[in-house]
Amino acid sequence: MTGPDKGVRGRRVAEVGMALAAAIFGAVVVFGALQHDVGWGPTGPGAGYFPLRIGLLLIGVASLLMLRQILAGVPDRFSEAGALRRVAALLVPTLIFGAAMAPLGAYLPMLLYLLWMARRTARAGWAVSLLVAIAMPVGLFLMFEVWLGVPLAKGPLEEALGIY
Amino acid sequence: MEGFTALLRGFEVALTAYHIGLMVVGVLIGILVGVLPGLGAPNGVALLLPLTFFMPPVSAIILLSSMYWGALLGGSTTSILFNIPGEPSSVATTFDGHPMAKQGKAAEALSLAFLSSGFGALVGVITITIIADDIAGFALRFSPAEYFAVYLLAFCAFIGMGGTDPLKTAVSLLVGLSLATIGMDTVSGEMRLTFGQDQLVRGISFLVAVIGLFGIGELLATTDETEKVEGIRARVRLSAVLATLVQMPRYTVALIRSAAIGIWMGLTPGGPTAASFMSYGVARRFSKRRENFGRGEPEGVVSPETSDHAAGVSALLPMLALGVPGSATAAVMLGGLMIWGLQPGPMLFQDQPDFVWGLIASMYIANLVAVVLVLTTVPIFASVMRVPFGLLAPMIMAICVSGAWMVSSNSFDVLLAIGFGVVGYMMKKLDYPIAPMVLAMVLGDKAEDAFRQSMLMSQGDLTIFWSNWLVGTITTLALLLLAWPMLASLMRRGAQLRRRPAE
Repeated sequence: MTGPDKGVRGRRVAEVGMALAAAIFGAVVVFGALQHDVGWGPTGPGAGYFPLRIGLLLIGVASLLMLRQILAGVPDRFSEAGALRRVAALLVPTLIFGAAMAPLGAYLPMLLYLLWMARRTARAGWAVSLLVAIAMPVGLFLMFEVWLGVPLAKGPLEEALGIY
Repeated sequence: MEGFTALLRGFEVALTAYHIGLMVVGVLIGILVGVLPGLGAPNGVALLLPLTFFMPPVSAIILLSSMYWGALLGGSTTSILFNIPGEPSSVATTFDGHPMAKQGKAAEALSLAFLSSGFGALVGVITITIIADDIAGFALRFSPAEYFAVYLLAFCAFIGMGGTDPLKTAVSLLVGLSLATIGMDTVSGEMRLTFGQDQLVRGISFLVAVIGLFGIGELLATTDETEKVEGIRARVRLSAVLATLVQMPRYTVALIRSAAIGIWMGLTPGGPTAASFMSYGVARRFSKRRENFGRGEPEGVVSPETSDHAAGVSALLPMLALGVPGSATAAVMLGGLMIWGLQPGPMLFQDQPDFVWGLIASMYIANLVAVVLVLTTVPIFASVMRVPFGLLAPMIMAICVSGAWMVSSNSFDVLLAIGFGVVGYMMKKLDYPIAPMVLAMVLGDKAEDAFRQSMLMSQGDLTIFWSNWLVGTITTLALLLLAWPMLASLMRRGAQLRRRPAE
């Protein structure tokens, strides 16, 4: 099955994987539902009645999808060469930014995140990068905290500066 | 004429300086959101929703709906100038809109798109005005069984008429329904599917899901595609708009037909995306210049745009009167309504007439405001697209991440939104529709409650869904829609078999 280009099997693998993931999720739902009353209780159908049936349906439909892909899937690319690397270059820093929000507050991680993305991914000059990285958090701060009164995450830096 | 006096009252509510200011702000944010990749109407509304909690509900809904109109128009702008649909519902506009722009007729294409959008919206809102009271009155007779049947109809309509792979639509729906059950069960108070995690007790917020699926997922998917953005510079001059306006009567048939398709798809939850594709398909089929479609045929711009807006506008009626949203954006607004403490449904028309008719009246004004604003600001907003995507993406991402945090000041929500982003990216790449999942998440609890109440009434007898002509008709229609893809493929196969000997 290994042709000159292994990439053409990517789509099929992804399709089967996605359907499998849906089926597994369905199984988790069924498992969770079974911890409750799946039949009739004093208030009509029990708490597990509806989720059990939804979970079973999900397993059924996802299995059909999976079967169809295995039997009749057409070889195709999942994405162009290098695309997944670009996605990861956006996703991984975002994930770190998101995880850093709780301990460090929103503003410092956002600044560093934007600076990193502008310099490394967009390859912008220092002037543009710094402008974006500073203007964005300041703009969000003015809009949310000052104007609308909706707080964003705060960390030690904000505490030290006395903005609370 | 009852509707007419109510509408006049609505205009009194909507025509205040504050509300007109909100419409302008909403439309401008909407156009920006529609133009920017990764920010669309559903997650734009989701991001803005936490900021409306300090407003009266009618002001909040005017702001959010105005943003929706702006986003629909902004989405068409990028379709025509950059061949990038800013919204899924403006994909069909790229087919002929971008070729027109490439032939140097960008201004004409834009004016055509905006004017047909305006026409579609106008017909949609007039229809709403006329039938709103009747639909609400009709819905007053609904018992839980009818409600469940209507929800079932909404779900089945997506599977049968959504225009996407029925199995994938079903998966999307069922995952959404499962996610809706997470957290405390409203009837028994039991904790469902939390597996002992405290974070899950509150359930999964549909706002977080929308920001992740539509926002972060869209950004990841756009990063994935290599196509270089090549924009066409356009200035829309008043003379070009007027010249196009004079030509509009030429497209009367297309306009009326597309508006009708749009209204139908908006009222029955097919949504604007399906409406625009269907309208484009029908237009090509019946056009005398069929071979010109895809190469810059003006009718190929007029048809999807009219339907898109007619559907977007009319989707708000079932949301208000039945609590069944006709599009993903309407689903997010429905969630907002419940957060503001309003119970969507026919009683809303009796208890909150100012809210309902203020919104309907605002739709007349806001759509006018939107068309005027978009015509005058196109060059400014189009220049946003000239910022390199590599620079734009992290900025939009920062807004999405901050928005996810603001939903309930919780870092778990942020990670959840990024997780939903990855799921949304995969769904986009593999052609799973996202709207059904959002719809199911918003409606899941209500559908389950309606089902359990019906079962309680009938002592577990499923025939309650056929117990009278009303519920029976809706249920049967729902099942027919569900079976439609299978029936259609059988009929096609039958037709092919019959044709074969003749070849």
